[in-house]
Amino acid sequence: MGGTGPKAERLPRLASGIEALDRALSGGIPIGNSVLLAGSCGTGKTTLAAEFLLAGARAKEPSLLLAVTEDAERLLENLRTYEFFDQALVGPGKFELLDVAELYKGSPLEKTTVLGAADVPVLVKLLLDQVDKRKTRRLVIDSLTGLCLRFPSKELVRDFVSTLSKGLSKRGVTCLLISELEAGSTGHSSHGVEDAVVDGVLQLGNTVSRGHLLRTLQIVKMRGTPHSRTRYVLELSHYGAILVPLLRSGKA
Amino acid sequence: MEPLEEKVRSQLEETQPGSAVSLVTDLSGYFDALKGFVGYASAAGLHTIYITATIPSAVVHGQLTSQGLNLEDAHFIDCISFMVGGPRQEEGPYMFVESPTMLETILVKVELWMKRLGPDHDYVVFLDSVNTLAMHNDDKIVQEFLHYLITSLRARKVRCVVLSVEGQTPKEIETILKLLCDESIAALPEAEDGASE
Repeated sequence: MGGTGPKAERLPRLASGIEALDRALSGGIPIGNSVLLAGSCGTGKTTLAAEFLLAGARAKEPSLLLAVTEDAERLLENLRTYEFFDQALVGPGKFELLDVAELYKGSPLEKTTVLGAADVPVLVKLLLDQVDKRKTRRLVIDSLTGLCLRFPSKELVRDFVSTLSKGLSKRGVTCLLISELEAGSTGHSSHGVEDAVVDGVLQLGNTVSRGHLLRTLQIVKMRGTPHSRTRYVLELSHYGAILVPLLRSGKA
Repeated sequence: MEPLEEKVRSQLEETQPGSAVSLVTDLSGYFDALKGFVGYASAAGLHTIYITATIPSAVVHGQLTSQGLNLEDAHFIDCISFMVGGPRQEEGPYMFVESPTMLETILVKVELWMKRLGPDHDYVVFLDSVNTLAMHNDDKIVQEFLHYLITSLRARKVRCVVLSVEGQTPKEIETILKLLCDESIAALPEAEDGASE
């Protein structure tokens, strides 16, 4: 974390709920940032995002998870197996889950299978209305990849992510956008454009180190804060995520 | 109490929170050194996170409790049982690491014990032993491991005691221990009258 980056005290931060990640971010995620949480399946995206939201609920920040890939009840069922989960944190003004079908219900997009340029502001408004209604401070979209499936082009995905990020930033909402990558993918986003318009990218992955398969996390980008660029080993324990540096044995 | 055990215990009692100690012993002094350490941690009310790479945790636990030592607040990270086909059930005071080559996983388990037990305790991490880790890993990575382990514990005011067997520790690892540790205790029968280095 060099001295050439932004001043650590410049922007107010929000604790992610993962102590080591907050240290690596010089105090946390700058409030209002939209951050891509990218990784292939099984790398821990949903668990990490849920921990972020539960930390918010614990801090009395209304937190919302938009369930796109998996239904909300199933997500909740999985979360209940973790020690860091607390049922008392689930409810209005705390940790809420919203199924994507509920988001679309009664809207012009409900029965549209392919979205066009005119639908971008409509979808953004649907999301921001939910955020405003619930006074949301933390938002997770699980997944952005799933939500953007109905956009037929990269340009529309880019437009959507950019407009949504601006709307959330204006409201001071900090957001994790889950991006599903193919195994072995070297990019940071599923459509190849989202990483350019968001404020931050947290890359999750698997790496083989000395014959062992390790789950990893790396901060690729985070606007508004100096941050570590090292690759961490990520352990998703029942007590919450743990990060330790990936040992390199003196190699670059 | 054996003089060696007493010596280790009394010298550890002088250490401060966040300090790192290199505890050097030999084969004949090994169990007395362990007993001295366990007696100290128990009397000081510290929760011990005991990383065992040399002897399976159940054996260490059994041998020390059979000698009347209190291991109620000892929590093990066993890096050897899994590899040799021993018990793998993570229950009670035991966590397992599949192999002593999984150094990052050892670091993770240290964090995990502290997370599981909570912030309201004082901890000491005991590494038994650096020689066994050096047997399974190259020296450079063991140095990197020690550097991270000791400095990250120090930053949180957690004590750390690193056990090594005299004459069996690679030179480069000895050097990094000298550099990182605040104290060195020689738990050697022939050095019983000597002061800490």
